[in-house]
Amino acid sequence: MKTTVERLPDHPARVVLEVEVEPERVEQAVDRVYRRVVRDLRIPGFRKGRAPRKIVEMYLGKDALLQEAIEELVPAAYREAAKQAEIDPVSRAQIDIIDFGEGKPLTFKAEVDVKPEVTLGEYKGLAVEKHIRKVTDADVERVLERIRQNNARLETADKEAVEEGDYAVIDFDGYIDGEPFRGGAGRGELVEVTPEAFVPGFAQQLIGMKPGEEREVTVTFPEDARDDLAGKEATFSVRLQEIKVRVVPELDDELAKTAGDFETLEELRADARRRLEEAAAEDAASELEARIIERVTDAAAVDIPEVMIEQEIEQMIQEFRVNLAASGWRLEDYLEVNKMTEEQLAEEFRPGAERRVKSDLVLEAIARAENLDVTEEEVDERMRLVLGPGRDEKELAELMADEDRREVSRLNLLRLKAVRWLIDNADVTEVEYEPEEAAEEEAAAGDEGAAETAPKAAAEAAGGDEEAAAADADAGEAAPADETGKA
Amino acid sequence: MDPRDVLKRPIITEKATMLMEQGKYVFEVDRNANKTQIKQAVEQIFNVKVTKVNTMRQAGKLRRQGRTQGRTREIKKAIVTLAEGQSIPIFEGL
Repeated sequence: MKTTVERLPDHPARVVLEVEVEPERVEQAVDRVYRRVVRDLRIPGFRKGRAPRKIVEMYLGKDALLQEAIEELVPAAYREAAKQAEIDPVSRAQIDIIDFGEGKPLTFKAEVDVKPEVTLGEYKGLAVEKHIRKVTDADVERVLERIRQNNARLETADKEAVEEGDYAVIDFDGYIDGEPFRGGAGRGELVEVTPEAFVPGFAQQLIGMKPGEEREVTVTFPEDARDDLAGKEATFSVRLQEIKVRVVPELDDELAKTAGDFETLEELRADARRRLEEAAAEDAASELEARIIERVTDAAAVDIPEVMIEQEIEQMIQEFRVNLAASGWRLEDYLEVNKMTEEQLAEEFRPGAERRVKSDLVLEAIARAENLDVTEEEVDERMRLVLGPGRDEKELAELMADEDRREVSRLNLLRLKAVRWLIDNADVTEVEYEPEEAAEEEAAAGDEGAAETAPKAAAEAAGGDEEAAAADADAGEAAPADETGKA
Repeated sequence: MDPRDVLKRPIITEKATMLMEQGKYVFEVDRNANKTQIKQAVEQIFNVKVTKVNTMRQAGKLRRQGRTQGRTREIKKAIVTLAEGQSIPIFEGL
């Protein structure tokens, strides 16, 4: 096979391949086609599959087999040529068949976008700072406090009357216009006495009730409640069974024993600190990675073909769709809520996509420049790791045999290696910094702590819509392209 | 009899293709043609030397469709053996 490569002068990343395939190979291909075709071909005078090639050619028309063979041969030859010419196509090639015939070579032209040349800037021995967040005593105490809150228990209180912040165990029967309604009744339900719990305004009317007391409570369902309830006024007859209060355990050795496998509070505290430090180290490491990738990406120059960016955008939208789906949204709904078209979304993704494509290309170029290599075993291992979970052995083997998928994994590995190399070869200065007063951590602590103790107020009765989790994933932070995205 | 009237069509079947390897070609021929005529016809049309001609008649088969009864066509076939090393380039319909 002969291949000539021609780079188009006005498109740096577009290449024309001219390929000539020997007549013998064409002949072989024709023969393969004949063998395949004849099996199901019924020609009068011959048993199925027994007609000789000449007869088949006469029967189907002289060129039918040849045509078919060419169609088969061209993509294969193109792939081979691309490999031979050492180009990395990034788009579907536009193929023009120039000539073919019996006993003649097959010639065709393929025009395709390839990975552009990368002009690397400075990337060796970069001086970078690794920012490590210092773990303060306050951080540790916050963790301990969270553990305390998580281990809080509801205990029956020997109290005269319900106060705000207590938990009331109640029986209730609700009526709208004198009629009971679905989910309007409950026995032994636990309600936290706060303004928001249950139906807004409901719990507060319980304040002051004594155990055993009965009371009529009237509330108006909010507009965003279940359709048949929204805006309606309901009357509940409520009987208070008992009052419970949330008891937070003392911070002591006892807590250390229940919260984890620790003997003393000091051990628990040390463990908390260790975990925080590990987390800080991890954060610092990934921050360093991001920082160094940004540095080399900025320093390099690449002329990215439009198709690559479009493909990346496509993929990002796909990932976005998956992320939305994880929180029960559909992309269409998201677009409607945000009054956007898919095109606008794509435009929004564009800068991020350019960035991703560029940094990928730069990392690959660095890997090439430094002769970093990925072995097939490493590819196997990674594919097993990334694609393995949730698949059986057979399915996985199939995926692992797919050359395109292998290539994706190979490139990902190569980029990871490039990043590692960059860090190993960088001049890293570790800088510890004091955290600013952590306010955001408070938020994280809050919703976690509630899980066990918060009363499971009958959600059905409340009629609130399933909480539409905030699905506002930031495009720039969308997970890096990975094999799973294409799965 | 005109040679082109003697030979009606080549018979191309699995069996006939196998015979070709031995230099034997099968034709449907005119019912009234004799071996000599067939030999001459083949020699003239294909410009080859014929060493042997075997002929056979295939009687029409009884076929019926409801109440009507009929016969399929009777045909006469000839297996023509060419001289060693000669061949007839692929049959094209006569």
